[in-house]
Amino acid sequence: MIVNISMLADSAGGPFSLFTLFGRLHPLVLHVPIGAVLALAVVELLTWFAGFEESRRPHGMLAWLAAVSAWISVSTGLVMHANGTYDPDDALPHRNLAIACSIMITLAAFANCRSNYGKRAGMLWIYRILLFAGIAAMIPAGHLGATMTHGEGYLMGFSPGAASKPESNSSASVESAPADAADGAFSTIILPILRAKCLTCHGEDQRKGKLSLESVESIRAGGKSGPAIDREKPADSLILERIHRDLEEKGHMPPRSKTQLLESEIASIDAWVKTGAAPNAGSLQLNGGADSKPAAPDTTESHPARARVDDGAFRALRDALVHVQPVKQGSELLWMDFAAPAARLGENEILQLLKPVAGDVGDLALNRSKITDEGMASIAAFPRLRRLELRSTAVGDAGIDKLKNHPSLEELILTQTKTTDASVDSILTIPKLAKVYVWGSGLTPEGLARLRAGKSGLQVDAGDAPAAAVVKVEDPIKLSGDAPLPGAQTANAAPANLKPINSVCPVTGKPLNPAYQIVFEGKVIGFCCPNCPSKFWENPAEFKAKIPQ
Amino acid sequence: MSPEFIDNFSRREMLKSAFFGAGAAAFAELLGVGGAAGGTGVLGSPHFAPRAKRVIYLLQTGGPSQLETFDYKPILNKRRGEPLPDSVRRGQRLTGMSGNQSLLPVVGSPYKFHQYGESRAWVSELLPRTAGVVDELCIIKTMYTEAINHDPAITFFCTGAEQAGRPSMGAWLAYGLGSANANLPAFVVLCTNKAADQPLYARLWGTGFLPSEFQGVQFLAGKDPVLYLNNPGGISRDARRRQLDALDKLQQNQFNKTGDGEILSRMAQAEMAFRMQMSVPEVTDLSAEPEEVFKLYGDDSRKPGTYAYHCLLARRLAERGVRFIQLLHPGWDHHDHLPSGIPGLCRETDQGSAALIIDLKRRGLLDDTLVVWGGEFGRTNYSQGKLTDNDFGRDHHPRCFSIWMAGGGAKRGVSHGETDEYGYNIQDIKNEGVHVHDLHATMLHLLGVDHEKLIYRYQGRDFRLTDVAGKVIKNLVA
Repeated sequence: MIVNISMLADSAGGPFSLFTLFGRLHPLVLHVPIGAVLALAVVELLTWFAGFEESRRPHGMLAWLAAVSAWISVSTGLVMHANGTYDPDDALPHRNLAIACSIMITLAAFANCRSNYGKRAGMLWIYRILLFAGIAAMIPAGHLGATMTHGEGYLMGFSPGAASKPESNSSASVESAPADAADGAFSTIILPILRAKCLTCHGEDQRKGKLSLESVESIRAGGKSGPAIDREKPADSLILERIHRDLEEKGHMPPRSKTQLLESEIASIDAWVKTGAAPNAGSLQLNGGADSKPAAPDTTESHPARARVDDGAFRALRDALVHVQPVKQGSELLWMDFAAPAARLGENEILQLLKPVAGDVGDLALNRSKITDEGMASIAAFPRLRRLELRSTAVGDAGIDKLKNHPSLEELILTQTKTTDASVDSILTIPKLAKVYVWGSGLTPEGLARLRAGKSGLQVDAGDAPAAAVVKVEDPIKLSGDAPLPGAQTANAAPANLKPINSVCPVTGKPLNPAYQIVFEGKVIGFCCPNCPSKFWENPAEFKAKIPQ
Repeated sequence: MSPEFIDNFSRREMLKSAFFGAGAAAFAELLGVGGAAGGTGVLGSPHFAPRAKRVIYLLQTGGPSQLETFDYKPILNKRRGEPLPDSVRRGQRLTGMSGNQSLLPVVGSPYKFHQYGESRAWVSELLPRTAGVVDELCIIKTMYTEAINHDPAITFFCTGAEQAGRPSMGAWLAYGLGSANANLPAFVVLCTNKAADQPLYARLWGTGFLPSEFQGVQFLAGKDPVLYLNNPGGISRDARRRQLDALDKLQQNQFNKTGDGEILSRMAQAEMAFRMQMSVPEVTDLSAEPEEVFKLYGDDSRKPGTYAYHCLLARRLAERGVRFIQLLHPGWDHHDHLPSGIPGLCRETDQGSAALIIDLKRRGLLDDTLVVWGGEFGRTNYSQGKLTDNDFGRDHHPRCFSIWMAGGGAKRGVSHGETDEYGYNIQDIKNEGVHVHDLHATMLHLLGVDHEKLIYRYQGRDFRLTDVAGKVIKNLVA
């Protein structure tokens, strides 16, 4: 019969056929047998316990109403099942229990007739047993049906014991985001798409297939078919496989009868999942979305820190204009710079902002901020701090004292702080420290000397490096060749006492410049400028005639 | 949709609208894609651990002579006035202005060279202060370029292409890595306020096809470093805020309608301008700098618009997390009268450059700030025009010239590469030559960026700062 009906459903064509309408009557019709059966049970109990002995005639009518309407409900249900996508874990037991219930109610109606309005006690007992067995099947069937319609926990969610569950139903959550929802790319881009197209069935309320898409965590956790996101190979995630599956194929999401995702929406979900599905990941999306070639192909790695740390913390940091950036791709370590809000944030605000990311801070710049010795206690507890910049802050010896033996600190900038000689010993206890800057601090020359002597391999910069000194002066220029070369500089010109034999330049005919003289064939010849000797040497024969012999 | 609309609907806009819809601005803010105004840029984080977090580029425009500054060639003095030997020139083409000269008399530096410091680098007497910090420098003597004229050559250094229109290096960095200070632009430009033959165009710090919020913001020399920074009389900051918020809503409506990404850029710029109303007066107010600092940078540093003043300002901007600070100092174009011209240029820049190194270093900033000094090409070893007793000029020379880098993971106290004896060609161009693309690739490497992976697709092809070339010169990296 089921086969027949699904074949009918297929041949019936579009989703708006009468057939579909018949199926959709199911939620309406099913209340008739429930009401009738419950009424029968109440009356039966009253006759039994309270000795109510009225006519049993209406029992027969009611019983037949229950039986007929039960079968109508079952048929509508089967049609509905054939047209929609329901979680078989809920739908199949619901179907079987409902059929069982209908059979028992029908048999009960027969038994009631056979009891001749209650006059035959044996048959009356059979009727009673069948009636209550029917009810016993009806209650779980009803529960499963309600779960499919309204989602798990619909009823019990409002019981006093479950008060912590956020009060929302699917239609309300479409309109307004919970205030504490995950932020970042997920809440701004992905969640609105899911709300519009998926959450009606896969929300916290419905959880069809035990899957809720309402938060990053629940998506990761997945449903009955396993995690929706594959953290090792995001591209193979189930959620992507399902939305990319052929529309005609079984399991395509959203179901064929529901509003489909737009291509751009699929691209968004793709990009988000492939970037690691972190609440905040998604810088790739700007370039890598609809275009086949991502602008930055290497950004597919997620930022593990972002995945682990609460998004609210990142949002708070960003809102406070604190710069946060993983030190490199795929690293949990963060570079944090308080340059923008340095003057504005109080010490407590700074520490509050840093607290959630304390385990991931690598480079921390607190220059010109209001950090003090007190706050240094928290900073010193950052387990992976590598470079700490405290330039132009009020931090002094008490603060530096807290950095003693810091396990990972390599670079420390104490320029223009209140640090004095009392800090030298504390600084020297930091095992990995390789560079420390103390210019403009309170260190005296003695303290500085002690710091420099204290630890091998520690670079101490106090801004007192001398300028590089001259180590060699240019050699005096010696002209090449035996004779003074043409165009020699004044200092290297031919001796002044050697008077040129000519009075005007043989090349140009201009007056001589004593700086440019050459010795040619044992005679001193003068020129007007440095260019003429070269011309002369190029072709001495040409100019020879112009030299007085 | 009108046809123009479809034409104008670039990929970026397509993506933006497809992805963000109405929440675009909020999204950019949250993920920090709006790198110019804080955030992590499009890369999210550097590809690998960076040595430098920011760059100060001291661009000496006009083409400083390497032969009067860092490339010591005594033979040019020994052979002063002799023609450039053919064995050196090797038949290579000359640049236009001296190409027709019948004589190419070689000429050496009239200024003495000394060796300085532990690195024993040769530096001319014109740069005594730079010589004092020579152990911090990585002097590259084997830079070369293809461009032989100023504009293409400067454009090449600033944008990685000789043709105008590509994004500048600062814009690439702002786009890729974002800014560490959301209250200041990621890319600030400081041009020395002086008359020069070669004008400096705003496109040298332009954004090309990248979203326009990434372009450099020029701080001017006058009373207002950024024009119209103050609210007009009667407008309070609150009123301005409300005004901007209302305007943003209208802009957002228009964006939703047209999908034009430049509307988002406009919004980002207006927001940045609002923030700069507070941050720029603070950063440009040098009154709190102690006397000692002005002494270090020289007297010029008290005068807004000078190179020394800009060096000091660059340090303040670097301290506050600005990603890319570009100084431009024009006037090095000594085609003639070099001996009377170059000492002045050196005087204008020597103390400021050196002071910047010293000041960054003692503050612990030189570790992660890459400083680059250099021009767009070098100058010939022969005299352009007449070589006289005490005057000569030098023409443009792209085949070799000297620049230096300091800090930010560049090697300390080394001179990279050798030019030939006459200072005309690079000895071993294959192993020691540093092309403009190579410099860019190396700078990006120091910033933790793989130059082949910072890409923007525009008009159907992928663009990079280094186009299809460039290799990281590992010898320059500490």
